[in-house]
Amino acid sequence: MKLLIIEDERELSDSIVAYLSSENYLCEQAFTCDEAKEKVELYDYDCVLLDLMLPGGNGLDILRNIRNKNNPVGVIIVSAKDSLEDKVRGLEIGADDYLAKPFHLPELSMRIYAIIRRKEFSANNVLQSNGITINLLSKTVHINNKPVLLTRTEYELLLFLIGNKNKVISKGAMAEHLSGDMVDMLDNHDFVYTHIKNLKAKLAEAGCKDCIKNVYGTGYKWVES
Amino acid sequence: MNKKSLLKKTLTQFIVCIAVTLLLATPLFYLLTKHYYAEDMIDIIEATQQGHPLPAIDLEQDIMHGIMIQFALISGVLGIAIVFMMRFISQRLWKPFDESLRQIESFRLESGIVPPLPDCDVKEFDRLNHALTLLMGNSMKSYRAQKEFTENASHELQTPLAVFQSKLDLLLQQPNLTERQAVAIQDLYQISNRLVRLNRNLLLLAKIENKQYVQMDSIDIVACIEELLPSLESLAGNITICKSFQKQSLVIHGNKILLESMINNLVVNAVRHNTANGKIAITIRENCFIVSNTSEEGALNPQLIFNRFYHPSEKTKGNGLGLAIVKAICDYHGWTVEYEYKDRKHFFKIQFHQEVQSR
Repeated sequence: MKLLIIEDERELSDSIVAYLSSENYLCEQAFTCDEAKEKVELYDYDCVLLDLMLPGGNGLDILRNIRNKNNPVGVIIVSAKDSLEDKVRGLEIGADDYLAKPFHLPELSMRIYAIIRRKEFSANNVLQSNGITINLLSKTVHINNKPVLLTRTEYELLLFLIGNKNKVISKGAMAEHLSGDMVDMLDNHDFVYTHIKNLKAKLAEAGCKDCIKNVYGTGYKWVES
Repeated sequence: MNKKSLLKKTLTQFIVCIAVTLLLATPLFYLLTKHYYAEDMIDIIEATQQGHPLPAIDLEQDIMHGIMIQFALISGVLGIAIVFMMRFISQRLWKPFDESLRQIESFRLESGIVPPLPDCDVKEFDRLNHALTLLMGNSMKSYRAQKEFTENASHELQTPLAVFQSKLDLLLQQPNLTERQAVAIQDLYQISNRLVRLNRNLLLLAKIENKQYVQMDSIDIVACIEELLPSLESLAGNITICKSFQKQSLVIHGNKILLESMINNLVVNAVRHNTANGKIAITIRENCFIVSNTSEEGALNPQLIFNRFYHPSEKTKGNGLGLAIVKAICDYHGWTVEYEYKDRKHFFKIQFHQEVQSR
């Protein structure tokens, strides 16, 4: 999977590359508007991360270029301007998703995964890991062909964990993933712990033990064996 | 326009008025003189000319009498005339001043409009109007600059915050992380989270003040609460949220994003200041929405509670902006928010003043 990261803040771009490279994505970077336009023109990507405020131009122009050529690449706008108008305009021009800065890298990875999956024609709607089968369309979970009943939150958490497998996800990233951007007001993320505990218990009961590893209470990791 | 000073104008108008009064009073004085003061004189002169004997008149008493009447009348007429004149002149002269005063009284910084002050031909008032227009214009400019600064600063902070947070996310991936390192990262995460929240809230406040939420819709607040409830309940943990809706629906006119933000802020505030297994009640009544919660804290000062960065106790839990945002959203829509402490519970009541349709 090939990604293009258009972001002028080098440190941020490098962090994104470092995180995503270990998830078997091939990442390329562009730091200016012209560079980005050139790369979009020359190469094919599966997904483009697009910052809106770039030296030398507006990111929306790049998006227009992409869509005018009927290029079906998935585009995620990553912007510091978290205003509804920008979001609506971006989505109208043809972005697939919009992520406001600052964001957590696992969240970004999850969004990229979702877009690539949606774009694939042979969309594989079944996710498998450690003997767990998740049907993404019917939102059902089976372990060894036996259904496991999860709450909506537990399901979301499980998906988030498997989507970032073998990576440590901080409690904060999980809390934000669960509650969206409107309810990021609680500084206490203990509610994540409760949900993880319930999820772990349900998975263990169905025969899938020790898949979720607690990293000193700071974060959780899905260990795929 | 030819501008005169206030003193010059007053004097001119005064002199004109006096002249008019005297002119109008002339017939009166004429009659007075003829019938009360000079009538004996006339009798005497007529008698002398025709050779008649002089009439028996006490001239001294008569003249004194006449002078007294004349004096009283002149003073009376002049006195009354002056009182009316002063009233008339000052009303005329100070009219532009009154006008300016009315305009300034209605001036609000938040409105963004400098009221037009009338042009006038009095030098002092003209200067005053110029100075006032300049003053209001400048205040408005600096107010706008300050608001824009908050918004721009918050925007600029988003990128460094994103870098900080992403570095932490990466750091957490280090193999062989020790417990001490993990705890340090956790602390940094909390700081980062606080910064992000603070920045987002400041940005939200700045945007509300800059009136950037123009989209107004008819929203059913009951449906809106039902929609938000699952995520709020997952945040609340062991705290129970009970709802009591007296109406099936309550449609209000407002901005959806702001309304949701207000509900979230109120409920999160109720969660944050609650007891371990406490309760939160969300109530919908005719034209009003109430969130109440149990708490260990006693009554709070209703004057201060909606101020930015107000922390009633040293046990700070939030960033002190949640209720300020609620207040800003209410002000923005013209709703009122009230705080009350009753039966060991904190009540926050939002009163929607507008006409609502409810089923």
